[in-house]
Amino acid sequence: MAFDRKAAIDYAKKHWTIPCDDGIFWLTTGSVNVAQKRKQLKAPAADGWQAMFVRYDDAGEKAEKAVFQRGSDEILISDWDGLADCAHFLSKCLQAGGAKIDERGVTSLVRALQSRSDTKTLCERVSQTGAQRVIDSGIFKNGDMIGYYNTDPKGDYGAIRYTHSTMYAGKTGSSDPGRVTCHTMSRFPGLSDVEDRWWLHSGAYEYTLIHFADDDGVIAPGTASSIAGWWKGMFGGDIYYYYFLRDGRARWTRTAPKNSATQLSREVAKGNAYWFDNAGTVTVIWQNSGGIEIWKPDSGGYKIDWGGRQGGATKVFP
Amino acid sequence: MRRWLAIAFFTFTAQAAIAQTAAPGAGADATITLERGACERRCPVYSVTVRSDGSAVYDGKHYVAKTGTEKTRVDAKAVRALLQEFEALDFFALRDVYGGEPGDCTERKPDSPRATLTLKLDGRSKSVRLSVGCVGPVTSRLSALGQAIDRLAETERWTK
Repeated sequence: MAFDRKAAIDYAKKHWTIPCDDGIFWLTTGSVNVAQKRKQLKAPAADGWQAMFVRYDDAGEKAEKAVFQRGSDEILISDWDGLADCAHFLSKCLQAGGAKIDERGVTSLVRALQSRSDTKTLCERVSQTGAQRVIDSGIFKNGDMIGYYNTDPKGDYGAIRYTHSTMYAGKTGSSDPGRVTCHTMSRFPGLSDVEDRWWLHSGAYEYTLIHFADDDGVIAPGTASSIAGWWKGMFGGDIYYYYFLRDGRARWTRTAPKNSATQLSREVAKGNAYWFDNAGTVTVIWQNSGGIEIWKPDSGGYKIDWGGRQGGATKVFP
Repeated sequence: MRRWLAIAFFTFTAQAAIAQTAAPGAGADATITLERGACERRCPVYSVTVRSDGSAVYDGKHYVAKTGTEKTRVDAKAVRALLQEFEALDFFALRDVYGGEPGDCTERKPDSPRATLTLKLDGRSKSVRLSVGCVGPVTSRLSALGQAIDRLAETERWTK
């Protein structure tokens, strides 16, 4: 069964400011059991105490804490220091959408998503500009996931690795860049009082966009037959050799193939991509850059639009 | 006899007056604590306390390489120099919080952590909390103090 994007987003909208329905949230040091805290702090649900993540001002900066709240009264469960519920919250959102994911760490969450047979990593550790192209392509959808790879030795405790993750929750308008939902800090588009545009912090990260692919349109057999194999792409004087596979993957190299049986492996290719069919027009998304190419059939070949740069492709072995 | 008593009395009161206005560095058991707090970008959360006798304790809590406590020694002269910086700031007269009031910041770096500096000296205690990303007349000097404490205790060996 395809990933239920609506269910995942609905879960996120319901739980973006409260602990997940398993009754726990995570700190860096371990989990906090809300029921146990109710007993310890004398905040029973029957008396109207709600467990929540609330924002507060701390020396002019926004911070977040976990509290039991009843009207204007608050009992502190955990302050800002050490709150780390992002991977857990996203795991629960994904579970609500039917994906059996249960991870506590961001790196393991990203790896678990990438290794699934129903996902495609559309771009991996690309710039904000590259990731924005992928988001704008229309292939990346609500419920898909973003991994944030910290590149700043002064940021994210100096860890040069994946340090945050969010779920893409769509655009608020046609010119909007796209928004995300997550915990720590709690966000949901249209409801957050902190930055919820998908990149979160400019200049800090490289981005990996992981797409649930089971509800993509089926590649038409005619398109697959037409495009599979070797193509010579020309952009002015630049020549690229493309190798399309019928299953939606593509690669490129500078080396001309010897014959039609020549294959191009992922490891040898200069770049790897997924391609998507829309009634014969093919969108190619390159993983290492987020570059987008639109291939439109043209007199037995294709016209290519590569980010505004125009080119064309002809069959190497007609 | 009365004259000697008077001399002793005036000497004692003079010394007491000098002690009250003496440089903070004269405090025999001064304690300086730096606490660094969280930010969304997983800033290291830890505290470090240095004392005028040169003893120091680090306590790592979250997003640090070393969680838990570590004891170390620092240069006692450097601690006295820090105390002089606190005095130059008139630390005990500062507000409790900086970063949220108009005029606190001429520039603000987004998503910055908070830090708290606490000075215990001669029976008095004062804590000042600030946004590290707030660039302003007071906060910049407090941030510099915090960095000096980090350098003195070499906290980076535990936080990174």
